[in-house]
Amino acid sequence: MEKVQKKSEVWYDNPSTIINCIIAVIIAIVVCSQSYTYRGDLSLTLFGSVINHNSIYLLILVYFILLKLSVGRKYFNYFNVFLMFLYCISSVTSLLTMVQSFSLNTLLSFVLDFIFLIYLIHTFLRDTRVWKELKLYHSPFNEFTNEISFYSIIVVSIFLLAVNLISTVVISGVILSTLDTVFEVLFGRYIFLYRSYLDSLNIDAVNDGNFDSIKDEIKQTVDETHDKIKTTIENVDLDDAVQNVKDKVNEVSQEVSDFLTDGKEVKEKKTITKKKNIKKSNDKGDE
Amino acid sequence: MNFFDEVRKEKKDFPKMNVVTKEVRKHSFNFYQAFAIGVFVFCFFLGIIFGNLFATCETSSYFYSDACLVKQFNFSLTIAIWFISLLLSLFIFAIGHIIALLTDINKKLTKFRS
Repeated sequence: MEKVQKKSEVWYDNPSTIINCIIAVIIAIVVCSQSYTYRGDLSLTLFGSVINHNSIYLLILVYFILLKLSVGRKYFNYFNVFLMFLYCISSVTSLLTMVQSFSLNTLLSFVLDFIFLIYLIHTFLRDTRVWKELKLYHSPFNEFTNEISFYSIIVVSIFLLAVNLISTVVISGVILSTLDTVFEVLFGRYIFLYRSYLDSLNIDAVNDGNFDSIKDEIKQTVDETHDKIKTTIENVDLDDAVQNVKDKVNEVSQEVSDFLTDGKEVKEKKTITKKKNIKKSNDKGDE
Repeated sequence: MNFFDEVRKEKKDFPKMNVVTKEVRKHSFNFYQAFAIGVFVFCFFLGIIFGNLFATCETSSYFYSDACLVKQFNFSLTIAIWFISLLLSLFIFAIGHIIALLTDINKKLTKFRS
């Protein structure tokens, strides 16, 4: 049965495969952009602009490599906050880029980064304590379903690709734009899969902590009863109890033996008196 | 097992907000430490302003032609400023911390003598 399930699962529904693909695409983007740089110009300005282009990718690469390790899994929530911070910076920089030179390209880049930021916040914080404490379930962005967010990312990234392909005249631009789009779609898919996973666990947007409060209550009562039982067990002195039982048994046995001895004495007395009476009656008869 | 199942098993949740705020409120900062935090906050915004002032050419547009078509926010400059400011503020903060330790020692010594 498991084998059938494994076979029916397509690669884009498997988070591990998606993560591997993202790592491969990021490496391809970094290597390609660097190689194009060195072929063209070695000036510091161009190197700086390549860093500009790749810095976010490199940091996201670090995030995904860490997820492969146990440290990444343990501090998954913390690394997600790091990812949100990155996309927050990216959104701000895209906004400022749009201010610098307004075009369809910069506008779409900003929209894409903003959607990613919103999608990340409303997906990765959902299964955390922060979601309840900051009351994020009241956020209006919860109206967007998982599908809407994912398909809007795909549509915007394809539009962006189209704009980039129209404006490019060299092959390097085509390759980089295509790889960028592939990365965006894969990254969107990764977030989509995580949100689907949360949906499968019934951790929905209206997770206002009611279930957690019940869970906490149960845990508290279990802990309290556990403590009570522990203290009563610790307070009970078994030696004393055994001694008490022994004493009582001794007392009872003493009483029984006393009773038996008293009974014997009474019996003996009775037999003696009986014998005496018989003797007396016999004597009277003789007289 | 699903990758997210493994993550859910192992992951740690965030600490409670009130616990964090209590921990933060416990610490009292002296002038140097407060100054270091102020420097870092100032440089954080300065990095964003400088990144916008000294905009660079977008990589792909540079590849397309010699003329810069799209000016991009200078992210590398911003990160460089943030990194330098972090080092600087850590240095000032460390000095403040040493001073705080020395004043503590001094207080204890004066109490001991009296």
